[in-house]
Order: sequence, then structure tokens, then C-alpha cells
Amino acid sequence: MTPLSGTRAEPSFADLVRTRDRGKLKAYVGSAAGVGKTYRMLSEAHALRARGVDVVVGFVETHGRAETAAQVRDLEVIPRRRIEYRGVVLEEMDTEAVIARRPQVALVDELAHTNVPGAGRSKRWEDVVALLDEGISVISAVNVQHFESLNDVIQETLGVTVRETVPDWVVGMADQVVNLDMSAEDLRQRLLDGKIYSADKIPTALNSFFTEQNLATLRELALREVASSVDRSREAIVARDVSPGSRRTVDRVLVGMSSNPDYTARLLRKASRIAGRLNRDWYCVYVQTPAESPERIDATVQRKLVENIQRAQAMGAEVDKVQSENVSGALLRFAREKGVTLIIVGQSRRGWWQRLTRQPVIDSLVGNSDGIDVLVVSLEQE
Amino acid sequence: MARHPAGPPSADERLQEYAVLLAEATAAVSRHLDEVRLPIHILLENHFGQLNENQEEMLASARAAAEAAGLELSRLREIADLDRGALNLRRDRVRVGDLLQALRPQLTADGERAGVEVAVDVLPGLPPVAGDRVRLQEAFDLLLRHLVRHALPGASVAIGARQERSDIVVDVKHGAAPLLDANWALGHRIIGAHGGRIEARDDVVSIVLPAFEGGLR
Repeated sequence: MTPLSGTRAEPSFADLVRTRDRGKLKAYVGSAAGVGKTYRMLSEAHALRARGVDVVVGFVETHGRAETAAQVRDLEVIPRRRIEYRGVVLEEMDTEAVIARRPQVALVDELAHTNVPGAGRSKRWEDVVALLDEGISVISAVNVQHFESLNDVIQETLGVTVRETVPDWVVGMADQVVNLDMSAEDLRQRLLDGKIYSADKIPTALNSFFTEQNLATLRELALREVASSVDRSREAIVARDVSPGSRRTVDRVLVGMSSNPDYTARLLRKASRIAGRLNRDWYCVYVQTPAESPERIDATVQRKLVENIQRAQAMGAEVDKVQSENVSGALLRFAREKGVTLIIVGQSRRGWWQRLTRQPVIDSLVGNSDGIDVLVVSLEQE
Repeated sequence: MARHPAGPPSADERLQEYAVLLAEATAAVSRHLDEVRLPIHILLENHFGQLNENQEEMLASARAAAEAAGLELSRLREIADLDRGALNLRRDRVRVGDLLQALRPQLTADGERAGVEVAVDVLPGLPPVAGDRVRLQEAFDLLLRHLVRHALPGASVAIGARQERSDIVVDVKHGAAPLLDANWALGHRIIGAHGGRIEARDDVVSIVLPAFEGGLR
């Protein structure tokens, strides 16, 4: 066991939005539509509200997805601004109404969206900047193909012209980036199940944008964004946490390993590649809950756990075991102790949606990891 | 509309007058441009049914051109607003390293397009500067991308941040020489509005900003 000592109280996102003058920005980045960004934002909004944070929906686009619409539930939604032009009614976020309402946190979907001309600011990201300027924290979402710097790459490799872009610096100034990863197979299945677009758009989407090759390229690009955001946070963390005369080690990757051995080997392989790509040291942390104590854990699971620990060590990870009832809390404490800037956790395909929506560990990790980026990787066969 | 002063104006008054006229003219043209963009936007959003590929491409190009024109106007308006002191700036603690890191992907992409190699190197632990985070980011975006985009093909542009006495200095080596256009003029003014300056000597352009008071460690 590796006990943690000298840990300080963890500032949560909820604490930070209460104390900062300028709003904080949290960005959910996905490889494509349908990976669950909006759903995840809404889940986080409910969690924040349960902790006493005043949170509203500035603008959320459900795209007719039943699961996403249901997740709005009883959150306060700021009525949209309606703009009428020759009988056509268009709707946009009413940024001024959000500012007047003065919530602590506003959810604003689709960062790259182009606003209706004449509605005020040209782009939604400009609305987000205005909210941040007013001291309102924002949780937003964007797909990687909308990054301005990737416009040429997307055009060349995917043959797709992306017209709505967001300057990289807007995502770059996010205080936290959460990257949601999903295998091409899963995403195409969700598309086929009608969970992303309406039935009439599915065949076109499958044969144009949602091809296996395109989705693989987009996943790779999203991963690069993780590397970029890790670089971004390094300077801030050095500046924030270095006390005179000392130098904390920062810029490391942490992989959360569960006792479930089914997917752990695959998670380790992925994490090893990511750490290698980022040229970072990495930790593999196993949080042992009371139910997994030596006297209670299943012998087969215990054996595989030991195998995975050895595998992680062979891959170059520093493996640590921590005992705690609170898995996400223990991972975050460890991460802050060790100057980790990226946490990688896995989610399996089986019952993907249920796992995504009912995984308190991942939810808690994402909701409380201010200043640390999180990569939720799909553990599908590649 | 601003009242016109009586009598012969001084140089300062004349500059103020230009700034006011420019701000009002750009705002008026922007409103007209919105009237052009709005129907294009509605058509592209398929409110009247799906477009064929050619129709969509043509309208998208028209919208992109209108947006680009709108952006030019908005930069001119910001220049005018800065010149007449009508732009409010926040005063946050801003880390120049954060600004550069956030721009790194775009600078790299611009460099690839221009056949230029771009390296960004920031010393860790530099003290912050005082200023408006978004405006400073905008200024760095305008200035650094200008210097990278117009650099000679094959050049290796090195961007670095350092501290010199009570200033934070961002040096750009082997970039383009500054050329006067709306982007450069706006970036230059934003830096000036933060108490900073831009210096050019040999093949180095330096953006100098005063460090945050009391922010030195």
C-alpha cells in the first residue's frame, strides 16, 4: 500500500466558481457528434446543482435525441432569443438574459456555432467569452473538426469542408478539457440505432462523414488536442504550485486501473501509447476499495490484477496502490500530489450508454478534476 | 451621432473625429451586411428544404465572404473604439505562457501553410502581466500569426517569452517584418492599451508588456 500523506483539501469545480472573478471554462471535446458530450454536460449540471451551485442551461441542442432531452429534466433553461425574418423564426441563446440572470455556471452547447446574423455576436464562442467576462463560468462542448487549426487537415484527409470553426485559443484558454473517446464501431452503431441523427440522415452520414476511416482520423486528432491541452496546463500548474525554493514535478499522466481485469490490459496499452506520444512519465494507480481487500477479493480477479500490475510495470508505469472507499477522490488526491495533468480512465463497450450514464466514478472524476484534463477512452478493439 | 465641434479642429480633435466617424460607419455597414447574411444563413440552415451540392457550396462561399467582410469591419471598429477610448479592458492576471500555448496549434498550422517552421518556447514560472485575457489573446493572435504568415518560405520562426527587469518580452525571431494592415494595427493598439509596446530590430520583433505589479517573485 502507498499511503498518501500531507494532502490538502481539494478545490472542486464548485468551489472554484464561487471564488474566481473571471468565469471558468470547461470544454468537452469529442471526436464526432454523438459521443455523449451534451449528455455529459447535463449530468455535470445536475451534480453541480446538487452541491448548491447555481447552474442554468444557456443553450443546449438535443438534436432530437431522446436520451439527451430527458437529461435536461428540471434544470433551469434560459428561454432562447427568437429572431423573426419574413415569417421564418430562428432561435439563438439569449446571452444578455443569461448575464442578467447571473448564474454561477451556464451550459452552452456547440461552441463553434454561427449565430443568426443580427443576433448580436457572430459566433457562439464570442457569447461564451462575454459570459466569462461577466464572471459566469461556462461548460461547453465542441467537436475536434471545428478547431480552426485543423481546417486544412480535415479538408485534406476527410475531404470535408468544415464551415463553422472556433479559434484554437478559445479551447486553449479552458481551465479544463474533458475528452470523450469512442470507437468507430460504437459510434456507427449509435448512428444506426438512430441515437445521433434522424432516420432520413443515417445512410448519408454512414457513407460520408461517419466512415470507419474518418472516425479513426478524428479520434487521432482529438488525442492530439489532449496533448496540446496538457502542454497548456503545464505552465499554469508550475506557476500556481511551485513554492519558493522547491520545484514540483508536473506534467505526468495517471491511469486509473480497476480490479476488473477484462479491459485493463487494453487500457494499459492505450495509456502507454498516449504517455509515449506525450513523452511523459506515467502512473498506474489501483484504488483498492474495502470490497476488494485481500480477504474478500475473488482469487481469479486477484491473480489477474497482479498480472496487470506487472504488465503496467513492464510498460514503464510507476504502479501505486491506494486504499480508499472513494475511488475518484483517491485518484484526484494522488494526481494533485504528483503533479499529474492528464487522467486517463476507460469505459467498456458492453452497455456503453448505461456505463457512461451510471458510472459514478467517472462522473465524479470529471466533475471534480479542476485543472486536470480527463480522457475517457473507449476500450473497444482497435 | 456625435456633435461636430465648432471652429478649426486640432490634430487630436481631428483624430477623435475620424475615430468616431469610422466607428459609426463600420457599425452602419455591419448592419447592412447582416441583412445580406441573414437570408443566406436561413437558406443554409435548410428552412426551405435541402439544397443541392452546388447551391450549398455557392451560398456557403457567399456567407464566408460576408463573414470575412464583417470581421474586417469589426477590426476597424475596434481600432476606432480604442482610439476614442471607448473600449473597456479588464485587468486580470494573465500568463503570457498560457496565451502562447493556446496559440501554438494555430501558429503551427499557419506555418505549415506558409512553408515555415515555427517553434514556441516559454520559460516556466514567468510572472503574469496585468490585462484583459481575451483582448491580449486577440492581440497575440493578430500579431504572431501576422509575423508567421508573412515570413519567408523556409524560415524557422522562433517565438520565446522571457523576463527583462519588470517587463515580460515575447521575441519573434526570423518572422516577417511588420506590415501595416488592420490586423497589425489592432494588435499594436491592444498592446499599447495595456501599457506595452512593440519593438522591431534586425530580424527580431519584440512584444513588451509590463509584469503584473507585485507579481514578481
